[in-house]
Amino acid sequence: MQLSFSIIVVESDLDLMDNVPGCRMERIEKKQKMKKMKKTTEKPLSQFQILRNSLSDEEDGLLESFFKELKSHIFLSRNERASFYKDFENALCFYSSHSVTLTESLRRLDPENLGGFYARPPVLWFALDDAAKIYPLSMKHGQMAVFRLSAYIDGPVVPEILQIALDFTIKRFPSFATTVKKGFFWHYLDTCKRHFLIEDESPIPCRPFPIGRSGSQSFRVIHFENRISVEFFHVLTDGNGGLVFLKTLIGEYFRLLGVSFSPSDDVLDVNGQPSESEFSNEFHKTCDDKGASGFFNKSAVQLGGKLSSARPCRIVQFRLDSDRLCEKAKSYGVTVTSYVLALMFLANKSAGDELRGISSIQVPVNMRRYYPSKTVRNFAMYCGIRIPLEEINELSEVCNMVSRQLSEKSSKLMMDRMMSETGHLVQMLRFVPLSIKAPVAKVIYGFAGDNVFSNTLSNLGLVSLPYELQKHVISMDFVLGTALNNRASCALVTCSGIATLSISKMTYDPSFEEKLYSLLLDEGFCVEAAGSEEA
Amino acid sequence: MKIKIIYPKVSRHRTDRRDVLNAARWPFIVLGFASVVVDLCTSGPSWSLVAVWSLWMLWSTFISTAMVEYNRISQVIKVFSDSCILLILINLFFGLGWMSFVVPIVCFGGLVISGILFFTDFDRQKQNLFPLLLLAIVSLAVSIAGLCIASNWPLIVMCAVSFGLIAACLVTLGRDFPRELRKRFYTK
Repeated sequence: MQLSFSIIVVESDLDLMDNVPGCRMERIEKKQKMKKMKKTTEKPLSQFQILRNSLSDEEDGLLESFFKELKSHIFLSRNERASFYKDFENALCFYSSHSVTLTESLRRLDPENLGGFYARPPVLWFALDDAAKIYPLSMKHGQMAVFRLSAYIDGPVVPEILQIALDFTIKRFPSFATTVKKGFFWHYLDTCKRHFLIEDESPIPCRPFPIGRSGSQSFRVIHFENRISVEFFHVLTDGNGGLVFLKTLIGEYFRLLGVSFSPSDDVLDVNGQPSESEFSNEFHKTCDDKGASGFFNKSAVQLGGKLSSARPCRIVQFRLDSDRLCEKAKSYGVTVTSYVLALMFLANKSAGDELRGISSIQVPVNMRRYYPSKTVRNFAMYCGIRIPLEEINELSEVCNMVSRQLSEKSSKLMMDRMMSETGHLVQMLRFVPLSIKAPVAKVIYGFAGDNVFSNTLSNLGLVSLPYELQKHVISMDFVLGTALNNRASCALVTCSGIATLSISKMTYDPSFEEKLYSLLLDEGFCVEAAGSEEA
Repeated sequence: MKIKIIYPKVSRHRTDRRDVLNAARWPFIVLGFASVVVDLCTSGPSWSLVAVWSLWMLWSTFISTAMVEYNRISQVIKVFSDSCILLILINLFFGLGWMSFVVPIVCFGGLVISGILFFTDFDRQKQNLFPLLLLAIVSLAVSIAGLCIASNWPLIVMCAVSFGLIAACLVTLGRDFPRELRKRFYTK
């Protein structure tokens, strides 16, 4: 920059000297030389150009035909296409710097992996499933149901490769490559063919998505050090669907890095054909069972502390040995979820000043347990475990109470009731225009909101990966986004022998996590506490 | 409890839309309420409705903007249709007689502008057809109803423009048109 500036100064001096007779020709030559110099100094060769210059004629021919083939797979705007080319150039440079041969690089980056996704006009659209319908109705500026799934890998993330992995993976999940749109009666997802870009991680996880613009997306792939994360607006999928996407993305990432493995049911083949069952609204499958569903309940006692303006204001994670966690849960004769819930009830009690009232924890229930399904859309319901504060004393007692309630309330019968009630509600409202439904839903949600719960625990369970991938994945975490009034939301996931309990905080009061930490220490766990700074 | 920081460093809090919303909410409510009270006390023409509607326009256009479908076509249509309602209110409450003349002009102006925005970026804006179509259909219905009562040139132009726009959408979208309607009107 400095150099080109000095050249401009010299040039202007030459312009002045043009008036001096006798020196004109010499000066013109000098001027032309300067111009040439300026051209070369202003546009230094890109890394890709340097790579290209170093190739033999044969290799250059290979590269040219590669980009021709790439062009035939992308029918997007000129800018978007250029952005795709840039991705592939960056990936080729990365391979070259890591001594991967050109032939091998081109094999890994084969444009056939893009399929026809970017070459065909968008025609698909997806009606929202029954659970997703509430999310666009209840969202507000700065308040959106977003969750994050992350995988920690055994080395720093290579952004160039992650970007290509996303380019190849997204076509396998057409319901994710969509924009939320407004219909006359309901919102829906409209396919959006564009270049989806990876992003650097921001300090506050689960930021709301700006979904209003044409072609805006409802998911983001982010990276930080050795962590690959995907954040989803809940309208697209639930934790299990999101996990399938993350695993497939990681699989593709490692394939591009030369790891070979066989695709499975939850690490999909990116070149496979998406089936209709992957996008079906499975809520229609369930039995029509009438009865009290537990939808409506009295307000629960909230944790203490003022709600923060930044939401979540902090993420705290406890990493535990998963075998030890299972052993401990077994020693109380309960499941891991019940055991962690019991600990949370004790921590809830000590994180507030209330002496009376009901403490309640929301527990999402994966309906695939009862209705095997391949859907990557939402297919989860929830139940509420409620215990009066006066009865929360001994861990073993609380474990028993929680276990009893959990097995009863998350039973197939209760879940069927809740789903059929959801279905009836959707049926009832289906002919009410969205312009009427939306403000009413906002008001109702604003009043009721999440007041019936004090906290949430979403347990994704044990995440398994093919052995070849498992070797490279150190652990995973699952972070829930903002709630309206709940001061904390917890999520648990187990991978590679590490159970990670993430707490999303909506208050600066540290009582809850401190109590939970001390309870875990008392239980004999070796706890590794990690997280974010306070926002 | 020692927490190992594994997230990016938190930067200084920047003002976001929620802060603006929180700051602007009460002044807007107070202004709206005050105008109604003053209007009731002075017992003149009901100008407070015009004031409240103008405040609503400001609020929904600049402060609490739409979260879904916040695109240029729907914004243009929103501004023009809100302006039409404002003009109707002004005309009704101040006893002016230009409503049947001015409103159609504003309305077909809005149709023309959004039509230009739609057809000049057709591939991308195809997804934003619905608000344009809705305004065109409403304009057509209103202009036909208006022409049955009294005929003037703005109404004739509005009728022609809205009809032309609907026809152009039908022709250019072809087989996509019924699909677009199916998406927009699904009920399940």
